[in-house]
Amino acid sequence: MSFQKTLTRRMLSLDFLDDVRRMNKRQLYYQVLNFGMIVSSALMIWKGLMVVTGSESPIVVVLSGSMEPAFHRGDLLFLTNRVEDPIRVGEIVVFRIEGREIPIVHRVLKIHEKENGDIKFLTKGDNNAVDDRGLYKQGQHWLEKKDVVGRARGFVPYIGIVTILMNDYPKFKYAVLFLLGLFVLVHRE
Amino acid sequence: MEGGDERYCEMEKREKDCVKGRKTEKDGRLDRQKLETEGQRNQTVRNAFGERQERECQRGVLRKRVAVETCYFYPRKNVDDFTGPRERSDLGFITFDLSADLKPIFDWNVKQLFLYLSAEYATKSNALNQVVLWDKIVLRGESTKLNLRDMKSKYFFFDDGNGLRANKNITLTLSWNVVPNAGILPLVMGAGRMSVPFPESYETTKSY
Repeated sequence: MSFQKTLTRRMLSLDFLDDVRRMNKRQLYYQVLNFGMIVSSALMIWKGLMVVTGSESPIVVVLSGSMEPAFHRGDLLFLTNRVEDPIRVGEIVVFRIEGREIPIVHRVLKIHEKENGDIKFLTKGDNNAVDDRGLYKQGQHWLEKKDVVGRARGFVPYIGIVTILMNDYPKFKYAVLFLLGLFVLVHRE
Repeated sequence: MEGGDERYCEMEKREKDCVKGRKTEKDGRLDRQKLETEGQRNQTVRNAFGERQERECQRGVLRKRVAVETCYFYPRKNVDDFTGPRERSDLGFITFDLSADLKPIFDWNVKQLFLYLSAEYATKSNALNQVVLWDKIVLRGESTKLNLRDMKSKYFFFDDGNGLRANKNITLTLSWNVVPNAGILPLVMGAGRMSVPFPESYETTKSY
């Protein structure tokens, strides 16, 4: 019989659950190791990106509409944060304000740099009427290099919506993770 | 405004199209051949308050097809700056004219263009200062020819300190950020720049 027919028959009659029970210990360990390898590879790719770009978060999702019409909620941004690239006016920077964990994506409006390289800068969202001084910490008038997560170098639209959905609807996140885990454990290869 | 019309007539060099007291302009683009050879010129015009003011006009070509001309009033003030950490900072006023043809930058992957005019200068306390004076978003599909006159800066040109007075060299540059439909976000700086000096003393009258 063809593979397709066998597969549908087995899926429909839940035969694959019997397969799981029949798997002996060795096969089970093998599956778990496979799963572990997939997770580690993903982590290694992420860490590798962090090293290459110099940024602690090389890919971010735009969460607010303050940079419209350039970036909308759900767009993916690729960042770099290399020390050799100085911060200049007009660049799109992703920064974190002290005490807050959500990064903000805005454009640099003003910079004042001293001879030794110490730089202080002001940002503003394209879609905002005023600069970001109102967003900074109480008493803080400028941002510094240490607040920067990275400079936006590339962008892909819409794809980050999945992350936003997973954040807003935690049940969706658990469902996706559960299905992924099930698939990997059960998949026979 | 009579003074302004005289200026337009002189710059456009089309006396026959200009009528005293009323400006008629058929094609706003400046003649690029003349732009490259023209240098600097001083004029005396009347501002919105009827006061006579000196104006310096410089012309230049920034890139092959982007012609920019800046004419500026250059009074400055030293005012209370509530947004910064110190009591008083220098505040500069610049008015400019800008004409540009952005068609060659737009291609199939360009969603929008973020244009900005920035001023770069050095002071005693800071080796490098850059301030965005004006910006504009040009979406795909919008008119790609810009012809702006008498533009005031959109953002306050505050210095971090008092370094604008008698600063001989403020460099104005037009740059743009290309936002693609997907892909790399390049930041391009126009090839030419314009250097502007600020005067030795503060201005006490109203400027805008």
